[in-house]
Formats: sequence, C-alpha cells, structure tokens
Amino acid sequence: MTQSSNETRSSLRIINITIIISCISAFIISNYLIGTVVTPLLSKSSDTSAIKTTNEVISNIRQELNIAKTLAVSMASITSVFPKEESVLRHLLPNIISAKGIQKNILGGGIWPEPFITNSNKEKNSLFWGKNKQGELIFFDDYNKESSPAYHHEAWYSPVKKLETNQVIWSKSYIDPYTKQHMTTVSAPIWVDNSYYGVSTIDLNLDNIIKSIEKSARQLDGYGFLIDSDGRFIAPPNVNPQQNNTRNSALYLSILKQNTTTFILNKNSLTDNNISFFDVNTQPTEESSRVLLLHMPDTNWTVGFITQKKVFTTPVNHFLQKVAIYQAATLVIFLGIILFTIKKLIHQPFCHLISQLKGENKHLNHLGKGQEVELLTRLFNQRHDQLQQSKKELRESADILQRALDSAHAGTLHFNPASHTLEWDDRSRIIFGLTISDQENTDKFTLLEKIIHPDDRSKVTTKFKEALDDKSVTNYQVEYRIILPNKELRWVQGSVRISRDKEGNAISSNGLHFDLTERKLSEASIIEKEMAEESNRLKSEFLANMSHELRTPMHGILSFANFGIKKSETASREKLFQYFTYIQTSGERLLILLNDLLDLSKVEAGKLVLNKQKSDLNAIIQSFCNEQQQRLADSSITLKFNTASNDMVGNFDPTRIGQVICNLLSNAIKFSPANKSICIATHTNDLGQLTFSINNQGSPIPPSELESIFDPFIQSNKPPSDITGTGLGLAISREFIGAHGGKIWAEANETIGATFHFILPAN
Amino acid sequence: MDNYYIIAVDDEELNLIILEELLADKYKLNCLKNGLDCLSSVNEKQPDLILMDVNMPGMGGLELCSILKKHSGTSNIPIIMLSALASTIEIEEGLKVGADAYIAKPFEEKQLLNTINTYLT
Repeated sequence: MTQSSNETRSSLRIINITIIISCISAFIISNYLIGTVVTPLLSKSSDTSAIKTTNEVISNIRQELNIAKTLAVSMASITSVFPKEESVLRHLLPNIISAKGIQKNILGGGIWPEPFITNSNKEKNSLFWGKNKQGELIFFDDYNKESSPAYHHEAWYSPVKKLETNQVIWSKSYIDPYTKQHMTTVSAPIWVDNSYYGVSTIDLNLDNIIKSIEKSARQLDGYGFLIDSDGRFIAPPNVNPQQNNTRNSALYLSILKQNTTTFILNKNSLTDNNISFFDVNTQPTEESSRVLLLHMPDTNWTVGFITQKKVFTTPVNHFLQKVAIYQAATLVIFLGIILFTIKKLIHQPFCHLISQLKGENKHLNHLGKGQEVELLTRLFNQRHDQLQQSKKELRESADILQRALDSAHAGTLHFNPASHTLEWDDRSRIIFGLTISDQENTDKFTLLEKIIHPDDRSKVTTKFKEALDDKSVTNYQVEYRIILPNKELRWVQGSVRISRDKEGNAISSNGLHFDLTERKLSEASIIEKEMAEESNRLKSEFLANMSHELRTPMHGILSFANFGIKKSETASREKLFQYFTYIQTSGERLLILLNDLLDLSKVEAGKLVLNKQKSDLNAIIQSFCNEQQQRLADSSITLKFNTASNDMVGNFDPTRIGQVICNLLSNAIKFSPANKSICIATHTNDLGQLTFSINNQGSPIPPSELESIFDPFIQSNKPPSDITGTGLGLAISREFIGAHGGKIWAEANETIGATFHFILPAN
Repeated sequence: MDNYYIIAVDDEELNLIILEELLADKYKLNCLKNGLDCLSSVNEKQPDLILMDVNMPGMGGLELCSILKKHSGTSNIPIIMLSALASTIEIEEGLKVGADAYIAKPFEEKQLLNTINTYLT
C-alpha cells in the first residue's frame, strides 16, 4: 500500500480513535452525572422509607406504652376513689389488668401505698398482681413480707412523688427475675385529697416492641435497636438473648465498643422532629452504614436502625451498571454504524480514487452515490483535462518559443530593479563575446555598460532608465553596438519588456537580444548595391539625356551643313547665310551644354574653386536684368525687381552666383507666358543671410517635381521653344549655392507659376 | 507628289525649319509645335502622313501617337517618329504605341525621304 493509502488509513484510524475516546468520555461523564444526581435521590428516598418504617415502629411502641400508661393511671384513679377500701381494690384492680382487650404483654400491675398510710401498723401494704408462665393473673404478696426489702426508695417509686395526676414515669428496661422476660414498668402517682398516697404500676413486656423493631429492620434490610434512657440497649440489633453469637457479631461489637458514645451524643443532638441520620464506619473494610435515630421523649428511649449503605447503593449501582451496559451497547452499535458509514461513504470511495490515481487512468471513476465524491471526481477530471490541455499548450508554446529563440539566436536577459542586478543566459554571453571567466564575480550591468560602444552607451542606459520610470512603457526596442575583445563591432538589437505592479512600478524587466551584425552587414550591402544600381541608372539616364541634348543641336549643325553643301551652288547668299546662322546657333547651344557639363562635373568631382569676394547681390541682379531687357521686350514680359535693403553685400563668388541668377531669370522668362510679369525680390533676414526669390506666372510645377527639377536633365513643363535650355541649369545652380553653404528650393504658387528661392549665408 | 499632305510636329523650331527645307518642295507640309495643335489639325484635314517629335512639352509624341492610333478614323495614318532619343528602348516604346517608323536624329535626308515614300506609296 502506498503512502497516500496509509495516510488515508491513518486518517480513518484517527477518526475511529477520536470517536471512541469521545464516546468513552461522554459515557464516563454521563455516568458521573447520573451518579451525582441519582445517588442522593435514592439515598433520600431510602431515608424517607426508613423514617416511614420507623414511624410505624414508634406508633406500635406508643400504642403499647399508652395501654400500659392508661392502665397505670386508671388504677391510680380507682385507688384515689377507694383509698381505704382494700377489698374493693382487690376486686377492681385485677379486673383492670386482665380486662378483655388488654394485650398479653401487660405482665402485671398494682398499687404501692406510702408506708403506714393504709395501716399504721403496716409499712408495706402493696397490692400487686402478676402473670405466671401460663398467663394467669396471680396476686403477689411477696413484697409485703417483712423480710422483703422496702420499695419506697426504688427508682420506679421515689420520682413519682413529684408527678401530678395522669403523669407517669417509665423505668429502665430490665429482665424480670421471676419470668426472665424483658420488660419495663410505668409508674403513676396516686393522689388522695391532694395528699400523696402512693404509686400505681404496670409492667410491660417489651417483646412486642422488640419484634416490631426487628420486623422493621428486616424490611430495611438492616439492624434495629432500642436504647434506654441511659444509653443501654433495650433491644440490641438482632437481639436474641439466647444467641450470644449475635452479640458477638462484628457489627454489634463495633456499635457497642466504638459507637455507643456517638449514639448518645447524636441522641442528645436530635432535632425537634426527633429524627437524626448519620453515617458510621462499622469496619474499615466495610462500606459505611447509614444510621437513623428517633427519640421518644415520654420514655426517653431512642429507636435506631442501621442500614449498610450498600443496601441503598447496590440497587443504584445495579441500575447504573445496567444503564452503563445499555449505553455501552448503544455506543457500540452507534460507533459501528458511524464507522460503517464512514468506511462505505468516505473511506472506500477515496481508496478507490487513490488506487486509480496510482494507476494510469486518465479519468477517475467514483464508487457509491455520494454527491460530494461524484462532484469531486467530476471536478478532478475537469481539472485533469484542463491541466493536460494547459501542459500541451505550454509544451507547444515552450517548443515554439525555444525554436524561435534558437532560430533567432536570441539571448535572454533579466533585470531586477529592486536589487539592481542583471542576469543573462549563455547565448547572451556568446552574443556579447564574453567568456565564462569574463563574467565571473562581476556586476553584469556594469559589464554590459563597459562593452557597449561609447557612442551608444548613453542611449542604451538613458532609454532603459526612462523606460523603467515611465509607468506607461511596457516594452521598447533598442539597437546598439558592442565592442568585442578583438575590437570588432557587433550590432545588437534588444527587445525589452517591463513588468509592473498595480501602481505601475517596475518589478522586473526581461529582454531578448539578437546579434544584428549579419543583418546590418547585409543591409549595408543591399544599400550599397541599391546605391550602385541607382548610380548606374542615373548614369544611364544621364547618358540618354546627354545623347538627346547633344543630338538635337548636332542634328541642326549636320542638317544645315548638308543643306549648305548641297545647295552651295544653287542657293542664294541669304539662304546660305541663314544656314550658317543656324549652324552657329546650334554650335553655341552645344558649347553651352559642354560648359554646363564641365561645371557640373567639376562640382561633383569636388574640384570647384570658389572665388569668394565681397560682392553686391543687387548689382549682379541688376546687370542681368539689363542684359535680358531685349528678350523680355520680345516676349512682352514685365520684370519687377524689389529689394528691401540697398546693402545686399556678401562674401560670395560673384561669377557662380551670377550663373545661378542668370539660370533662374532665363528659366522664368522661358516659362512665363506673354504679357505676364516676373518679380525678383531680395532682402537680408534676421540672421544676416542674403535671400533671393524670383516668381513667374507660368504653368504650375507639380508638388512631386519641386525637388526633382534640381536633378540634371529634368525639366518641368518644357518651354514651347527652348533653344538654350540644357536641362542642367538648376542642377548646377543647386551645386553652386550648396558650395556656398546656402540653400535653393522651389515653391509652387497658390494660383499660377512658381517661385524659386535661394539663401546665402551671412558673412 | 504634291498631292500628299504631311503634318510635322516638333517643339524645336529649328527642326521644323530643317523639315521644311527637306520636304516643302515635295509635299504639302503643315508644321505644328505641339500635340494638341496636331490633333485639331488632323480633325480639320486628315493628313497622309504625320512626322512627330517624341520629347515635347504638354502632349508628347508617345501620347499623341497612341491617341491617333487608337482612334479608328486616324489609326490608318502612317506616323513616323523623329527623335533625338535614340536608344533601343526608346525606339521600342515608340513602335509599341503604334508608330510605323522611328528615325533617330540626326538623320540623313535620304533616310527620311525613303521612309516617307514607303508609307505614301
């Protein structure tokens, strides 16, 4: 079994142990609580039962005592009526003692007059009847014999003198010397005309009382006893005078020897209801006993019952034991059901799932019908599918990324802004041209700064710091050069991505770096090639244009020369002159073209030498204007020259600038329709530069041609009649102005025509 | 031969003078300086042959030739291009737009007259 299975089992074990401990604890606590609650209740109930039994005993005793007392008082009353009439008394008194309904336990009775009160000669004159063993009432005169001891000082006689009529005293219990019966005597005073006459007595057999106590003791499953006024036992526990072994029983001896004092003390402390309960330990080995004492005030007796507490506790314990057994049985069943349920609904389904997880099952099947397990299984299967899909996508993504990185030969860099540390992978190290030992124990950020080309260093570091600080920037790209150890240059392109927290602070920066050198070289090669191709194209175009511009005047020269030769004999002199004139014109045009070509080639070859001198721009413009007056007049074109400053003196080559002005003016005249005007304006601007502009009202120049018209042989809107134009004028002008450090450009007018400007730098 | 009517179009006046010297006594020659004038003139009276320059301001020879050759009424008019643009590419461009012949300047009188005669007879 695997570890996970063991864990599941141990979990089940823990659950089992927890449930068992909880149940045992609950069992103990409930039993304790039941014990604390039930035991006092049962004890109280047993006490109540004991009191009830005792009251019955007391009731029996009182009934016995009352009969004896009544008889004694009755005899005293009869005697007080017939004090002197002995014969009457001898007749009446036995009838009272043996009257029907009188219990057998009245053993005897009689009257005992004071000495010499009935007969001055007779000290003792008692009238006493007692029952013999057969229960017959017999008159006893033994007490009156002279040899017999006087009775007037007996304990049952003397105290009676202090009593009033109807009051009695009870003697201590004693064993009758004649009948050997356990008995007591009640004595009542006899008063005759308020003078004390004597005592009437009734002897009461205590057997009934003792039997009643024993019966009740049996009912209580304990011991009963009756204690005399001086603390002696009238009825000892299980008293049986014939059975000495009872007297020697452990309980009996214990009570006699050890607890007599306790009984007396407790007897004296009896409460108003004359009932007292207390516990005694009869034997160290035995459970304590419950003692009930009940005091009888009239006889000053104490009735007691001793019940061993186990008599009360045993049923309770039996009850509790049964409760415990039922509880235990219930708990066992309960636990069994819980464990079965746990095993069936939780343990088995989980073990089933675990065993499937151990196997190669892609999806789990669940056991049982528990919704939770079914849900868990379904969710697990969903998660499994999602995980598999994610893994697949991740794998594909990683593959793609790795392929991309491999194919791009890209190195990765990671910068931690918190620690300001830079890390890179091995491919980056190779791109940077470093060995492993180069980067050991070195701060890589500093190392990278060190190998970056000095011209690019500031750009790279500044851009990086700005990007980190600018919360809106998440990525940027940068190209820079690094210097390899062999002093070669290597181009690197960095693509940097910055991760930010919610506040926009940079938390990390990751970069991809590529070696751009080959691409740069390739680009340079392509540019070079394109430039060469462009150069060839321009050269071809130039040659084609050159061919055209050369052929046109050449065509005129050759044609008119041929005409002259052919018609030299026939043609008029004027015609021949015209032919020569055309040849001259074409030749001049050819010469101008050649001069322009020379100028252009000089400038392009860098061989142009400027003869700069202090010159007046306005004066040059004016001289050209004057030269072109005839041509202007022929074309009906008005020329306006405005200058904002009379002093337009600068340091420039007057010949070259004159060529430029001549070109621009010539073009303006060529492109201006008749009856239109040309405006020339000059001024010195705030920077002290000399500015020139010339405006014509010819056809507009398309915006796309405003730049290209300064290229050789490019003409916009070739003029209708161009004899002198070579197509090189503007190209040469641009070169001349450029050689002076100035600038020339063209603007299309809003409505019609174009304006050409040039600026010459200040002195 | 005087019956043939030829239109010559060239922006260079000197070239037109040369053509006049060569052809005026042989054909009825109408010299024009741009393509638009040529189109209006053709519309007025259809020539038997047109001589045209290629490099002209406004409507150039290639465009003019293309228009005339596409138009059914003028497509049969022989067109001879006369140009100082003399490279093979330029000649091919001219023939492509419908020119019947392309003569590079400078040309000889005989070359021009032979070519004209080819298309007039």
